[in-house]
Amino acid sequence: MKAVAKEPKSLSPEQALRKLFLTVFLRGQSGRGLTKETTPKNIFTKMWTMLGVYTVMGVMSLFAITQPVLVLSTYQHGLTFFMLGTLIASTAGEMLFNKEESEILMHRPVTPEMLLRAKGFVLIQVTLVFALALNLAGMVAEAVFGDGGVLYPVIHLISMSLEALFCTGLIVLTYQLCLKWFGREKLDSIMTSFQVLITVGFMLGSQLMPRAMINRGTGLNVVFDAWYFKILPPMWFASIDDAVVGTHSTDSIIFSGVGIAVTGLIGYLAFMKLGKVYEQGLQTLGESTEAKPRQIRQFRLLEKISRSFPVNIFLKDPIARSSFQLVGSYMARDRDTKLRLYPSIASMMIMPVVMLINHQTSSSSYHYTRVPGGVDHVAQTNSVITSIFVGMAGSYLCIVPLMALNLIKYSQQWRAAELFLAAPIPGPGPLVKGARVAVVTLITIPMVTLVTVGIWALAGLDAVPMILIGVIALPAYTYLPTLSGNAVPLSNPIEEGKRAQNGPIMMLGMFGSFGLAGLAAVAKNYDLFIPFLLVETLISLGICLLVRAQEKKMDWRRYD
Amino acid sequence: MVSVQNLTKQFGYQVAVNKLSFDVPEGQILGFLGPNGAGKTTTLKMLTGMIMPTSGTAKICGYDLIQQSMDVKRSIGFVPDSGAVFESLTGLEHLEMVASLYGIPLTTALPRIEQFLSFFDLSMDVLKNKMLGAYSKGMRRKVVITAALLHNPPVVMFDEPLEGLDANASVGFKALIQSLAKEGKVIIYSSHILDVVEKVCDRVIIIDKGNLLVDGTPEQLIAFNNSGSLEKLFTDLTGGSGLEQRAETFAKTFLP
Repeated sequence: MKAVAKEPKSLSPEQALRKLFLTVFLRGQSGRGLTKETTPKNIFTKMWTMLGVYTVMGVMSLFAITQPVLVLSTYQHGLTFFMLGTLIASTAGEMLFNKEESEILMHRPVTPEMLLRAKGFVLIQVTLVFALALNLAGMVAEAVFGDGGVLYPVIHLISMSLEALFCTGLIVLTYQLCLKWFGREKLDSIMTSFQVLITVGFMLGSQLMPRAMINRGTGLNVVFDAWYFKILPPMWFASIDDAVVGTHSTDSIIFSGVGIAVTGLIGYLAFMKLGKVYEQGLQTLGESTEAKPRQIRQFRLLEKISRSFPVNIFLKDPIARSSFQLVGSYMARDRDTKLRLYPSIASMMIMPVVMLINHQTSSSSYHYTRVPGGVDHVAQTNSVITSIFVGMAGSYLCIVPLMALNLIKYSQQWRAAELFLAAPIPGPGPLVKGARVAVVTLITIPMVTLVTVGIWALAGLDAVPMILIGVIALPAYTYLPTLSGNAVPLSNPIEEGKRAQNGPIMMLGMFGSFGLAGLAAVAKNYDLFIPFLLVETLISLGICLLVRAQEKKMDWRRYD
Repeated sequence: MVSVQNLTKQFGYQVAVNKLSFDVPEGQILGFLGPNGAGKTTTLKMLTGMIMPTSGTAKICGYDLIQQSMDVKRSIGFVPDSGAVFESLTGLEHLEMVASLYGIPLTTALPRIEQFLSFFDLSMDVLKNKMLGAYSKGMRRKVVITAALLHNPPVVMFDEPLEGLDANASVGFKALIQSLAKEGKVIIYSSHILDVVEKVCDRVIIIDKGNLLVDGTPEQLIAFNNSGSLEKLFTDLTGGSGLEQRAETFAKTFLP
């Protein structure tokens, strides 16, 4: 028998675009260091570590397995909503507006609506995989032990898909409304501000909602009597599950209808109706723009800062000073840098603040019976917990420069960093130093000030010294990126930042800051806070000197 | 075939292209020249539908640039000066994707790709297995040119197409665009390499600061302005005269 040769499969333009954006998502924009054999073939092989973390996080929902379907489902949908929202908010900007992509595609017969739908499809596909990981434990457990039975996973999968569409549509719609209301010229700055706001909103929501659910009830008897639960989207999607495999109540049927209708409306507005607005955004990327007077003033201001006391002490080397100005300008002007930097920092900083607010709220709601002349153990315990939370908020500050320096290594214009290799600079040390001073001066110091004021307001003046544990460790943390090897600013393609190599340093930094907070709280409890600070100062100084010596010796070999 | 009417583009207060009008008939190679920042790339981007004109319009193959933008895009091939490609795709994946966007079945696209491969001396193995990010600039440019011509468009616009191409590929490319013009295609060729433009183009337009300066055949323009060469004409018109003298003074006064 004669073998029939397999004919290559032709794709429609829509299918080709979906395949393209999924491939670019999996492989990244630059493909540096990738070969056909080593490229990730699907979302699972690309993101298995993150999917693993999401699956483990999903195990938390098991606390609600003995509760009615609505409770478990609301918890799962709440968690999914906020996790997916944060994920999409941090990736959508880069995916939706890419300058190189518009150079390749905008002169071809594809409509902006087609591009938008293909990108939306890929975003939903990716978010669904993450949603599945996050909901897996709860779905399986409910099918086996819960009231929902075997139908629960099926219905939950449907409501989860709707939720993924809702989240993606909502964020795409936000961008389009920004474009429509504020115009193309302001797109860059508005997009950054909105992305920070969306991320902070999702982070706040993910922290506050589960606590609100539990705090409002008695123990684990979660109640939904508050009016605001009903306007929260996760509740609508949970109502779908409850309407089919739960109580079948009229409320659930109504809210499922609301969820389906709102999702449909958002999908229609985001991917169909406002497609023309998206076209304007893409065209903006193709237009050349002059530097605005504000941007020129920013650069001059950076120059002035770099030559002013006390910053000039650290920037005596002209290469470090240039690096300071370069990094500062990117942090102020470059859309891609701003979109990655500020939402990440905002999401990191919001967590300790939420923890502190939450602790303050819950501790103020306790009613103690004081024994005259007795030891107030409750007050003492409360003070230790406050110390830990304030310490955590303070030590979390260390993560800010660490994260910023890690992010500033990546840029869409990474090839321009070849200039550093061509210039007569013996090694990357001064460039790294300039970036470090820029991050500390322009981001970290304002952040420390903000957090100090916040803690003063929330926990009182007595708690403020706890911030010192973070402030003292800060210099050592700013040297950590040097240990990862490649710390030259703006010299790596952005997708390399998404790969795992930065993970260990960040994890080390985070665990280190948590450990510091705990140790400091214990030291404070035993009246050893000042010796603790002295020891910490010595260790921090030691690390700085050691890594600094190492940094000075660094050469370009690993950058060849 | 291409008719441009009062095409204007303004970025804020800056007029990048100012009421540009010209026609290009079938089979003509039009050299589109101008100094840096003259508005050449902006004009080409408007004609390809990549950016919207502030005012004015154009007709390409009878289709209105604004009202029938999809038909216009189907009728043109464009090689942008950036030479941008999806670097994480292999050359073949990129070309297959482009073919799909024009609705060309792969059974038709693959033989065409092979034709281009043999014309440009590219190996199918490299095209299949190597990511575009790892290609040399010249190889990447060949893929971009292939992607612009794959759907056999009646109008082709090139923005600095020779950048990165080696001498052999450049010679081959010049012969290719002349052959394409003989087949009736319109070629709009924007470049800074003036002797190539002089040899290859039937007609030349020079613009500066968004305004049309001259329009005619290279011979007419050179004779009319008594310049002797297109390069001399270009420098005279765009304020580049006395460059040799300026270079000499610069080298002498350049501080160490």
